[in-house]
Parts: sequence; structure tokens; C-alpha cells
Amino acid sequence: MSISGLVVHSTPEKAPGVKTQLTDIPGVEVHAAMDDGRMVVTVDQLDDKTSADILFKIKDLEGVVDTALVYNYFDQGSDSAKEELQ
Amino acid sequence: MKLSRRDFIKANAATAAAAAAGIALPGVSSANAAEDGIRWDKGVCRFCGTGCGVLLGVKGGQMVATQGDPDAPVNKGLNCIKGYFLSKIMYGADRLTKPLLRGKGGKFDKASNEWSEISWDQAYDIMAEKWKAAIDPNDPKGATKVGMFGSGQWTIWEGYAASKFMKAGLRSNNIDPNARHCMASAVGAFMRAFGIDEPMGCYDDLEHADAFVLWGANMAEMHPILWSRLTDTRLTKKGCEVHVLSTFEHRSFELADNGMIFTPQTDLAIANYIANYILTNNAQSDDFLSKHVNLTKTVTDIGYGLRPEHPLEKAKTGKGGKLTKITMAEYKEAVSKYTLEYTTKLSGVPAAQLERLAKVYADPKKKVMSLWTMGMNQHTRGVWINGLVYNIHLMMGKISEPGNGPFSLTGQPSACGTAREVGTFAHRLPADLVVKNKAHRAAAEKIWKVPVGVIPPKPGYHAVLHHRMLKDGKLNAYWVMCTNNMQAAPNMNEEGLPGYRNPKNFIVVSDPYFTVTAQAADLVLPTAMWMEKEGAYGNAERRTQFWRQQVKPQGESKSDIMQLVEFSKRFKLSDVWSKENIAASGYPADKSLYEVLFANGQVDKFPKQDIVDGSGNKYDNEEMDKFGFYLQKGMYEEYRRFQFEGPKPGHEMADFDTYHKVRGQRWPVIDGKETLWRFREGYDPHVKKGEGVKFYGKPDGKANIIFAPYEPAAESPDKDFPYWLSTGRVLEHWHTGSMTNRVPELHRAYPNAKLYMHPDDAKAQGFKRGDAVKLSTRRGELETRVETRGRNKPPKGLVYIPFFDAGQLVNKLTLDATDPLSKETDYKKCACKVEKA
Repeated sequence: MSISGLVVHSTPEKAPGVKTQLTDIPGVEVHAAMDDGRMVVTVDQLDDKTSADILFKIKDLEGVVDTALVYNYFDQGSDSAKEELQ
Repeated sequence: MKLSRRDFIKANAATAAAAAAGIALPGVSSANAAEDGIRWDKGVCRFCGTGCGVLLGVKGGQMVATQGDPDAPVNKGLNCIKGYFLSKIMYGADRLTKPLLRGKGGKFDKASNEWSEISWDQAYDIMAEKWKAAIDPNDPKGATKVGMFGSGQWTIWEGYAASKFMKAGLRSNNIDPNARHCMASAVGAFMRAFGIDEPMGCYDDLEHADAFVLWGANMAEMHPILWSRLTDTRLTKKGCEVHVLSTFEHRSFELADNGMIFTPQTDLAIANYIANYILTNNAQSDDFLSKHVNLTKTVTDIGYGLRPEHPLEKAKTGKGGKLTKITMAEYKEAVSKYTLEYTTKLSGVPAAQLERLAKVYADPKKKVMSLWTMGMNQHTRGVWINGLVYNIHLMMGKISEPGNGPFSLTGQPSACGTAREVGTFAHRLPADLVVKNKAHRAAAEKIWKVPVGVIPPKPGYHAVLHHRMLKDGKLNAYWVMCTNNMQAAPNMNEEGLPGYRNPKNFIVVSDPYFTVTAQAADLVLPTAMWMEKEGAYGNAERRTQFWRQQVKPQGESKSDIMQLVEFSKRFKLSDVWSKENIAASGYPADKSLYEVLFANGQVDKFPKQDIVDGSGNKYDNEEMDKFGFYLQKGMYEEYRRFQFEGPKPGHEMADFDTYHKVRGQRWPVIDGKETLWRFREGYDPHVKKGEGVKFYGKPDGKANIIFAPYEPAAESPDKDFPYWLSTGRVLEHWHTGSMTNRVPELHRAYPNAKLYMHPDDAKAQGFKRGDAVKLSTRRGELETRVETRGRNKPPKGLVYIPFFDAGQLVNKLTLDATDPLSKETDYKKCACKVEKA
């Protein structure tokens, strides 16, 4: 399990296009989109490699000015990913 | 509602990201990660000099999560891509776990290519044997045949312990840090202009300035978090502009309002042109100049820091850095040569762009922050060019106030806090003191409880001289800690490698990984890194930051400080000090260095205790378990005495326990209050009411404007080697890649070094993008691939290659030309050719 939280910077004009591109990527969610073009995004993947590829891909999306990575969770054991908690 | 663990972590991730951006996230409760069994604590990033705060998540003895620390003033919760994968640097597949000796069956054999595992006791035994053979305790010059190469990545107490062990213990000043390759020119210029090291301003200037000028720095890739703060200001503040000077186009140009490509070395002329522009337009602040500045000029034609027999050294007519006072008329005359026409022709920067840059500095209403790193420091005239930029700020009075300031960025996490502040340079002692000053030595000897005369007065060998002296057989027992200098030092083929492999020498390397340097050594010591020990770093804005040990060291790894202190037990005073030294000390001759330097009633005065954070979580401290006292606290509190009892005030820090609670503080810290802008009344407690501005590092309270001319580079392109070769870093990797290249995600993102080249140059030579080529200089060659479309776009006649890749040893190519004043290598300029492989 590999889960990342990041802020994606775009411009107000290009933000809608960026949001569409982001939500088209499997495992990517946009949690909030601000008027100034910033978005709160999570990337949820099974392994770090796929996760990293997506993070680098987001940086290169048309309309993305900058990405700021904030949170990551790496977990080598896949079983633990199935654990549930209240 | 049943929340899966996955949803729970995702909610944490989204909340953290939103908090860092100051965005309210509706519908998501502020999840508390502690519920997930993860212990969170504050820490500091292991990479560059920015000093970002990180939160470290440990579960089951492993670091499983990290996040940007939202409470850290430096990065406010953000990470760069390297910081993002930070926790993985400790978990490379090939961590060293046992000491390794060159030779079969635990028997040392310099000529062998095999390694055998030995115990720590065996390792210290052979080291002690080699060290003692190289030390003559009665030599009045001290122990000149032993040396240590250290690091701006050492924690504060590790650098301090190393400096004390070498200078007061072994009586050798042959200790120098890798910061010599990185910050020495900055230090030299601070001392010459202000008499005290490190920037007067701080990162808050990134929000206060109206204009930013990057002198050679590519902050977008090398200081991404500071770049994001700068970007925010540029995009949100009306009229804000960004000027970027570089010898090639890079990612920072994307934000530039005025991007300028100059011919290498002509930054000297550009800075003088700006000074000339200000003076001819009578825009200078006469009031500031008359009250706070002395005008001086420096000796010229001082050579290139090569071996004395090199033709360039024989040709020089000047020597050293003596300053001579000059009048304003003489200063005006000196810079008058640097007209717009002359500077445009020399530098290749269009006149309109140069003039636009000069106007920003000359406008009294515009607050300007100048920023630089290796472009200016790794320069055969590095001290000069640092000083020429100070000249501009000083003549306008644009200094030591919010938004106005020259800011020297750093490349290593504790280049400031350790390498510079605790005195790990060959000529320095803690808190800006120097070995050649008798009063400074006496102050150090008193605090260290060693007799007068123990510290040798002559500066030791600097970094580049280490390799030359190893090669010449004059330095024979050598310990490298916390750095990969075989890969990083210049001219590896002609100096570094023959030096290490000289049969007269015994080389010890302490590292977590089997680096290029370790591979060239005779004994390799597995080393605990970063969060496997309690530590402290000092960043570029004078911020001192501490962390607790988060996880256990791997295998038999020991921290650098544990290795140093353990090794000190192997020496009796009679092994290292002269009869006179011992007599003056009153200590018995068979007293161990451990008892004199560490278990001396001062360093060991803080007893063993539980290490507990504010939430009651407990932490390990391997060194405390080993030695039975709080070693880190004892070393730090002794170091702190230099700040309060030493002859040079202005470096005061808070007590040990404070730093474990706060997110760092910027020194001088007086009465619990940090200092954001030095030398100015109202901000700096050392400047009294009514004094206004006082550069108190200098006896008369005045800073120096230092005129220095343009002089050419040591080696320029010619018929045989037609390109400039510039070397440096890329975003994904840090320095020699010994950590980042072991993080699979970073390795995949940028696996191998490549040669950035102008498409026309490539075409003229018949290369296509991705072609294998041979890159060579007069000193060596390597095979690489051509990149014509990447993030860096060199002008015609210049190529750029990063040095992180152990498979392409770029420093086989570089010239060991150094700034004769700072002894720092110029990695940005030598001549090369490119041919089909």
C-alpha cells in the first residue's frame, strides 16, 4: 500500500483541465479545488513504484505549475493493507 | 461508520496536504494518526541546506511514514521529491552491517581486491596501530601525518567531537570538511566583508522582497522548497520580479522575468558593472556608506590554487587576500572600466537585460534579495564574486532588513551548523575562532581543559591538499566520515585515487553504504545514519534544529560520534602529546584521550536519563547506553561555552533541552529570543539603541566593500577542447547519489547522468539525442549519452553533466583549480571535448 497526499498548483484558467486529467488517472482523487488553481490530491496505489511514476507524471501534466508533496505512507506488507479499523 | 485502514490513511494524507496549503477540507475530520499505532516525532530532512522540518512515523521499529511538518517555519508542511522519499534512504538493500578490512582472512593487504569481515575491536586495533605509527608525540609541528575528512552532514556534536579529537587530542589541524568544496568561498567572503560568518538575513526575506536575483543558482531544482516560497511571492505580490543569471538555461528560467545567460567567469564583470551603474547614476546611499562601510581593494592576479609547479602558479604576480583602503574616487575609477558596452561584449548578456538588472539594485524603493550557491562559491574567484555582490548591497544600504539582503544558500544540511560553526575546517576552532590566533587557541584550550600549547598554531591541510599530500606520501593515516569524497573531489585520476592507493597510506571510511570512496579505502566502518542517532543540524538561515533517535542502527553500525569516542580510548597521552604538554597538563602520562576529552568531568556531567517526548513516548540513545552518560548533551553544552565565554560574541544559542521542544531557533539566541536580521537595531540584540546598523564582526563596526576585477578562468575552451564543462546536480538526486540512488523511485526517475548539449552543437558533430558519446578533458574520459531536449538548455559552446552517478565519475574530468583564498574547487569551468563513443 502506498498513499500520498499532495497539493497541485495550477492557474485559475487551467485548473478545470488539470482536474479532469487528474481524475482520469486510476487511484487519483481530487479532494478540494480552490479558485486560485490549487488542488488537494491523493494518490492511492498498491506499490511505491507505480505511485512514484504517477507523481512524476502529475508534475508534467499540461497546466500544472508546481506540485508540493506533503504526506506519504509506505507499507511493504500487502496483507496489512486489508486490515480494518473502526 | 466503518473506515478501512486504507481510507483512514488516505484521509490523513488529504488532511495533511490541505493543512500545508492552508486549505480547509470539508467533510474530513482531522484524523489522528496516533490511532494507527504510528509514533510521530519531529525531525529534520537529511539532504540540502534548506533544513525542512519533517514528521517521522515509526511503527514496529521501522520508519513507515513521513510528512512535511506543518509546524516547521521553513517548509510549512511541504516536501520536495527527495524529502518525500526520505525514510527510504536508511533501507537501501546493501547497507553495510560489519567492519570490512581489505585483504583475505582478516589480514590487511593493501594490494588485495578482496574484503573480509572483522570485529569492531579488530578495526580499532589496526587503526590505532596505523595512527600511532604516523604520530611522533614530540614533533613541535604536531601530528602532520594523520588527517580526517569530515562533513557538513555530520551532526553538530559529531563535527565538534571530531574537531576536538583532532586538534586537542591528536594535535593535528589536518581536519577539513567537504564543505570546503561547497561553502568555503562564502565563509571567506563573510569574514572579509563582515568579520563574522553566515547570512545576516533569513528565509523570511523570501516573503518581504520585491525582487529576487539568482546569481548562478538553480533553486527550482536544488532548493525546491525555498523556490516554492519565492514563487508564491512572485505570483501574489504586485510588481515582484525575478532575475536569473546562469551560464545555461535551467528550470528556474520558467519563472524568470529577466533570464540572462552569461559566459562563464564574467559574473565578476557583471557585478562590477552594476556597481558602476549605481555610482555613475549617483544612486548609492552616501549616508550608509559614510557610517557603516570601509572602501577597500584586494590583491590581484593571485593564481588558481593548483600545485606550485603548474605554469599558472608560476605566472602569477600577486598572492593572498590583503585589503588596502581606497577612496571613493579610486573605487569609482576601478569600476569605471565595467561599462555597459564592455560588460555586454564580455558576458554575452544583451545590454537591455543587464541594465534592467542594474536598475533593480539601484532603485532605492525596491527591496532586493540576492541568492546564490555553487555557481558563485565553486569559482576560482569565489571569495571575490561573493564580495562583489556584497558591495552592491552595501552601497545601497540594502542589507540586514526584511526583504533586503544578500543570501548565501547552502548545499548540505549542516554546512553551517556543523562544518562552519563548530570549527571543522583546517584553520578554524568553534564559534568563528582560528588556530593561528594565540588568544583564540588559549580560549579553546581553557574550555577543553587541555594545557596551553596543545593546539598547533599552523592551519592544517585543506581538502584539495589532503589528496595531494596523500599522493605525495606526506599524509599517511586518514579517516573519512560521512561523505563520498572520492566521487566528489576534483581530478580523481591524478590526485584522489593515487592518494588513497599509495602503499604508504592507510585509509578508513565510515559510511552506511559501500560508496566509491569506501571501495577505494582499506578499512570500511558501517555507520549509523540520520534517525538512527540523536542529532542536530544548523541550516542556511542560522536555524539550529534537533531530533531524537527514532530507530535502531542496522547490523553492527555505530554513529560517527560513537566511533570517534571509542577510538579515543585507544590512545594514552604519551602516544600523542609531548613531554612538555603532559607536564603542563598535570595529567598522568598514561591517562587515555577518552578521559581527557570526553569522560573529563565536564562532557560526562549529564547522567543517563530516559529520553521522552511531550506525549510521553520513549526513545533510544545508543551512545548513552554505551558510555553511561548523555554524550550529546555534554558535547553541546561544552560547545555552547565557546559562544558565551569565547572572544567573539554573536553566536549564542539556546540550551540543549530547548531545541528538543522547538522547531529550531535562529542564532544569536539571547534570553530565549531568536534573531531574524543581524546587525540592525531593533532586530539584533547585539546592536544597542541608537547605533542603527553595526557590523560588529569588525572592530570598527564597519563592513568592507572590496573591489576585485574580472580575471579569466583557470582553463577555458580552446582548439583541442572546445567546450566549457559545467557540473552540478539534478532535482532527484543529492550530491553523489549514495542515498538517493538507493531509493528505487528516485533512481527510476533519473537513473543515469546525461550530457546536456545545445542541439546545434550536437548536430554539427553528428550526434542524435540519446547517442553514446565520449566526454573527455586533459585529465580523463567517460562515456555518457547526449541530451538535447531536457530540462537544462546550455548555450552553444557549453555542456552540463550532473555528478551523482557512480557509473559516470564526472570528477575524473574536473580540474583541481581552486580559489587561492578559500581553497574551494571550481567545478563549473574547465575545457572538454565530446566525441562519438
